[in-house]
Amino acid sequence: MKISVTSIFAFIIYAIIIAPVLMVVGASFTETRFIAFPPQGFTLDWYWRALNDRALMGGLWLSVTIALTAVGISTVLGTMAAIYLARPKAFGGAVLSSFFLAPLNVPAVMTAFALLLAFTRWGLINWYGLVAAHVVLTLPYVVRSVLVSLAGLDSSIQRAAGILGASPLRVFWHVTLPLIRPGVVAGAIFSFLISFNNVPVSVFISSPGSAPLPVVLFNRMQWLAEPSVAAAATIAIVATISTMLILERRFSFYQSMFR
Amino acid sequence: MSDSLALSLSGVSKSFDKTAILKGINLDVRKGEFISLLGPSGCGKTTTLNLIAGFSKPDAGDILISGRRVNDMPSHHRHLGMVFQGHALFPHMNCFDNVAFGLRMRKAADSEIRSRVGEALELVRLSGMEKRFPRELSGGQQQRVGLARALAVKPEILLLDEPLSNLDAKLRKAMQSELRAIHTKIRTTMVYVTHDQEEALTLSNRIAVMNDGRLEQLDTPEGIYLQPRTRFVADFIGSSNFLRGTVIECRPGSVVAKLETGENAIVRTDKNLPAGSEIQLGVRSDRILVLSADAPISQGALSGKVLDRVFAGSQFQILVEVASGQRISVHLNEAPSANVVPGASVRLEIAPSNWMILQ
Repeated sequence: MKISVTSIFAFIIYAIIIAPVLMVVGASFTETRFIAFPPQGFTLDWYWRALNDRALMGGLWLSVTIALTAVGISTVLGTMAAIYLARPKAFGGAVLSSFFLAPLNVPAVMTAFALLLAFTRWGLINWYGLVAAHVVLTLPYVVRSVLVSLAGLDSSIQRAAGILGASPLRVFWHVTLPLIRPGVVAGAIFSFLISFNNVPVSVFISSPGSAPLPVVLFNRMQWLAEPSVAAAATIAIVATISTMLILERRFSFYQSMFR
Repeated sequence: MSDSLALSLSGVSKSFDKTAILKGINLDVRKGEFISLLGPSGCGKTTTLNLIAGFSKPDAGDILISGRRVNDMPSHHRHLGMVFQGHALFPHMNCFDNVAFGLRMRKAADSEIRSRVGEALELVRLSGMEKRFPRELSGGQQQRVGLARALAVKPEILLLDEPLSNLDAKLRKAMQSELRAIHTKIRTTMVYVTHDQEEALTLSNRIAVMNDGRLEQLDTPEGIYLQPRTRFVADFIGSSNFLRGTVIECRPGSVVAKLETGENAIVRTDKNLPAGSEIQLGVRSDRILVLSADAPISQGALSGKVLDRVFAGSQFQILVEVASGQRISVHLNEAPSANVVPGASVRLEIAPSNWMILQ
């Protein structure tokens, strides 16, 4: 096999991306009372600690429930929005599509600040507020990727279904949805990752004592840089990677996205 | 009368962004008829088809399917079939499921679905392909599945939107004769949109020639070809030449016209045209004889000079400049005499019945 210049570049870039992750994983095995890399000795104690740490596990559970709920909502809303926006004569199409994509273009801290002001007034600094905030964050990813799928769809296929006797709802269910599924799935997966890893918005919206995992880790790192934080992070990384692998197997997700 | 009409358009108009696309179309299609909407791109033929299909609504006028006004009826209630330019098959379904789709939407029983799908696929000679997916089929096969899918529901009218235009020339010919055979067999009313005059001539019982949102002429292929009503029709279908003339004498069954070339032509017509009236005359390129200049003079011949002589496979094409400076193209099935070469003087003879009086 010939090693080209581009493959060396690719290797360097992968190394830069993956190295910090490996450091976290390595640090979780250290025997020292503080995070150290390279790890000194080898122990699984920190995993035991992390699994028995109520704040960490509570944070993980909260993260999962928020991500799943927010993804469910934004996948449905985002798909509906994209289908409307893809219509050639969508009323206010340009305005609405920049509205839906706005959170992509505004710094997350700004969005978070705006949400904090509004949600404090509405008494939404709780689980529901977090879900609502994450829907705002993740919606653009769904709208985007579903719009891309719809753009590749031959509109005469939907017309064909209609003239064969399918009502608009059945055209959607039997024809449109199966054909845009790769876009919907890709949007949902992206949304999950965005929500699960989000810190800036969650920091503002969560109340002390009930914060999602990234916020808990963030706080711990500031006050108590114990290797159990690295262990919890490793658990989250492994969970994320295995989810991606399963989805890749099931939906050929990357292929469908970059086709 | 209206019982035998599968489709009737009356005064149908449609505009997009204030541009009138259809300007009052009247069209009656009889049950079992194969009718073509023929015209250049932008003439409104596809818009007409989309209105019949229910993809958009007419601004004015009525659309009747089997005598029922369908202006406000959505597409999925009209009980039509449609074959699209790009096959528009459902890529996530195999042939069987594609063809069965319409029947399933109508909640047909499984046994009926199986037999109807089988029949439809047999009609398009694709039995045994049930499990194949659209991407595994050739272009011609895809279009045949599209046809089977539309026919499986036994539609009142089958709409075809340039279904063969994406196929190569040879396959197109084969599909044309197949389509003809299918129509002869099942006698479903078909409305066929095309810009290909040959396709329209070979397939149709009647042709509706459209131009700029209007129906120019509705007639049998022979009628369209031999008795075009307007200059547009004569020009669009086949190759024609045009000359203006003034009637100088009216005889029973014919008129004598002084052409703009200065020569006289005898034109057969049943119309009563008073002397002095201006007329637009046309003649088909393949209805002109080329004689050498020293042939005996007959009435109604044009003299001219040969500009070009081209061998085009099935015919010879001669370009002749007449006295008024116009260029007349002549198509001959047999080789003209050797002295018909560029620069030579010739006479063009046109029989009185070959002159066409156009609007």
